[in-house]
Amino acid sequence: MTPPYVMISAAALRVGQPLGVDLYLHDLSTNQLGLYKQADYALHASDLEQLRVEGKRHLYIHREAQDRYHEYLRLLVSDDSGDTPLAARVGAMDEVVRETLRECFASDDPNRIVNTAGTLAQMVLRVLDGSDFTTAELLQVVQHDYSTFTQSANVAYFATLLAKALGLPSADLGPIIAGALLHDIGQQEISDAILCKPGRLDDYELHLVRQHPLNGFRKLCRHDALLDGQLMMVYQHHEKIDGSGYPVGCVGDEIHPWARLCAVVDTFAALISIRPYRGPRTHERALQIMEFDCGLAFEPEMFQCWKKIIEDCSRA
Amino acid sequence: MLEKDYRRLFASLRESVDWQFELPATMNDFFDRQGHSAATGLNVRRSPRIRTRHKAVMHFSDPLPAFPRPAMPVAIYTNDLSRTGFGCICREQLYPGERVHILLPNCWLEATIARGRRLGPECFEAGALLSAAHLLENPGFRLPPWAASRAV
Repeated sequence: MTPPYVMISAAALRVGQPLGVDLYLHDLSTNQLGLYKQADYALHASDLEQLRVEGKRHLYIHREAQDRYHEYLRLLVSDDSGDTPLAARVGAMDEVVRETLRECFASDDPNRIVNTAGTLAQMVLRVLDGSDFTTAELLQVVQHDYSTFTQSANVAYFATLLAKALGLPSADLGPIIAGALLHDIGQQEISDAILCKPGRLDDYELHLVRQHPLNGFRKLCRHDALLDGQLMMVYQHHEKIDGSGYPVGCVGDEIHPWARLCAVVDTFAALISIRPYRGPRTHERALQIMEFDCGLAFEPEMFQCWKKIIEDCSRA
Repeated sequence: MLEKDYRRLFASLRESVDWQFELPATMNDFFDRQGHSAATGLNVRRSPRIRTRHKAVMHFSDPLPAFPRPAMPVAIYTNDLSRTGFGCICREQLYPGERVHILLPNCWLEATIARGRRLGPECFEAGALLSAAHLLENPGFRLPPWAASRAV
């Protein structure tokens, strides 16, 4: 049976405007959802601050109200008038990206998936490239739960930051974001029992997990709207420049630059996310772990650039 | 007549393709190892494989849209063959989903690349799924469509 409530991110809430749907909060003491604000209530800044202080990053809405909520999110994302705080726009963008990916990946229709990734990439680019948001704001907004959709969304945002910092041509940004949104599509063929297994994977499970770049590539390789770099982000994002990666064991320049970029941000996004078998790593710890592999797994220039982005953000 | 045309085509292509690629040093005895090949580790295969190691020729019959291929066939070393699959070694990295024709002395095969693995510099192994086999000995034998004009 489908649960009657769906979780939403507090990051997408905007002050001063009724959401149009009832909001619910999870009460830890009763383990039940309780009405937080009614649909016509305009949130105050103090409400959002209170949620932040209490560490409540998620609220709930009725499943029936989901369409209205998505419409609210889309309006928020497309509002580049300056009236909507950037944090709320980025939060709304994140919700739209993850929810839309979830829906279209489930369709298993390569055409729909590729077209949707392209549309979402333009939206992400408009929000992240067309405004003076900071990396810190973005890092505050992104989710850390372990799902393919969250991972794909975070990799897309981080890839945008890294591609810009590396000075890649602006025409490449949209395709790179779309490629990042698609990079883990092969995981759709892996069961949740394996993806969410709290313990160590056995050899066979590991073998199945390591098939995902191959599965994803097979799914998309005949699509004529995709560029070689985008397909290589799908196929090569677990390759390492010393040849110890998979599925092929390519070395150095045999790995497409977009795939090398994807490998850096994908690993970082994975390390800072909550996994079934461990909690999230801090940004500093994630960089430390990755530094061991710099020059082995990751291209040094790309890793150093990413490290600087995150360290500058921490200092700020 | 067709048999002669095919043999002439195969010989001429085998002469014309570039054989300048090297197997890794660990595979020096590659051509000496023929015959049955045991499945290893997590390789789950439907049919037993037989090592059949020869020089052959591969044509990209239907490349992927994002990865154009030359019209001219390329050199390959055949690795193994089963009822449903085919393994080879070549200079280029082959991508899953690419459809190829593999020309051997007595037949040509239609196959789709399933996986690839790097063996060394400019040396890649690939596994392919067979979709059709055209044996010279079969009465309905025909040349690959792209090769018909070359054979005359």
